[in-house]
Amino acid sequence: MWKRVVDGKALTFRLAGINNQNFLMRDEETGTWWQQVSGKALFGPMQGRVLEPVISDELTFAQWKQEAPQGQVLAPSQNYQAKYEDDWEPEVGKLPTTIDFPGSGLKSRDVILGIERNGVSRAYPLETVLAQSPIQDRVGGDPIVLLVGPDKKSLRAFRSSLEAKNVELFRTGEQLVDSSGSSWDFKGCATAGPLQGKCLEQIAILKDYWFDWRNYHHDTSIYRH
Amino acid sequence: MVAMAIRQYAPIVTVVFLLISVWLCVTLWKRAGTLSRVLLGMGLVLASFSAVMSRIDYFEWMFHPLPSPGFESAANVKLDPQQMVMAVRFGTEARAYPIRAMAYHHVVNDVVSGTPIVVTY
Repeated sequence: MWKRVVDGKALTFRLAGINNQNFLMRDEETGTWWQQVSGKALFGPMQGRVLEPVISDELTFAQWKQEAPQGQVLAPSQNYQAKYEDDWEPEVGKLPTTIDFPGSGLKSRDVILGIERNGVSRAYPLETVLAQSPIQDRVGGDPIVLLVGPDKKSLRAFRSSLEAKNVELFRTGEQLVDSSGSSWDFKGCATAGPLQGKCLEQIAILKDYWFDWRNYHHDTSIYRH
Repeated sequence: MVAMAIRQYAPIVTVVFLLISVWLCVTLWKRAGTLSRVLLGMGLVLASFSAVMSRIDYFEWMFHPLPSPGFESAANVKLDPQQMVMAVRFGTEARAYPIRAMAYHHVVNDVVSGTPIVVTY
């Protein structure tokens, strides 16, 4: 997800091509070609520019609705909604990948959560995150924490420090707490205790297939625990 | 970069070829035998097809863009609670884009709380 204003001009994007299961998009205003995964303009009048990323979550509808009861949901298109497929992911999962990375310990279609901080990339296998949440780690010098929501499907990551002090979250039963005794929720905010009312800064994560993440992040490490 | 250069010059080049094909057809038709006429005709069809296709991006028809996204309130929308959505929040505005729809349309241009964004999947 990206902000689509460049040099004060709002661009309108259309899908223009597929490159190894990532896509290229073209803006109607300048005809420039942009890469979906990086937000970079590859070819055309705006070549070299990069779109500003927007942090977004992948949540279950139930989790989102609970957090944003006044929110709005994209309505299905009248013309096309009969064509939406529920089994899109399993079907795509059967497609061969053109790139494989043997020896990495991960299969091409393994799902990972990718985090990039200060130029350093790390991939967190989804199974591991679901099993071990909260996961505290350090990427590119930043302390981070990955959280799975109460529904065991929604995912978020945060910079786990407040006012230059690290915050380490751990689970006791169903509760998320830290060493100060504060309780934390899935929004990254302390709901009780000394840090009540304070929130951690949310950071971007990309839920992706391993082969795709590795293809665009050549030096990525893999979280293994 | 070669592929991009070809794309950029294709419209001009294919029109030139089309004009050449038309000219060849017109000048050679009368004296051409049946086989030659068939070949000229096929050449013209091929040149026309290339000229047309170089101006259209097939991917842009294949994946249907959502021209003007409409929205429903969280309370009214009929969505399975376990369906995954991509969610964004700007200020007090929260928006969710069901993955099922995004997997079909791939690109949605939207404006949330005055900020133009593009949602991609």
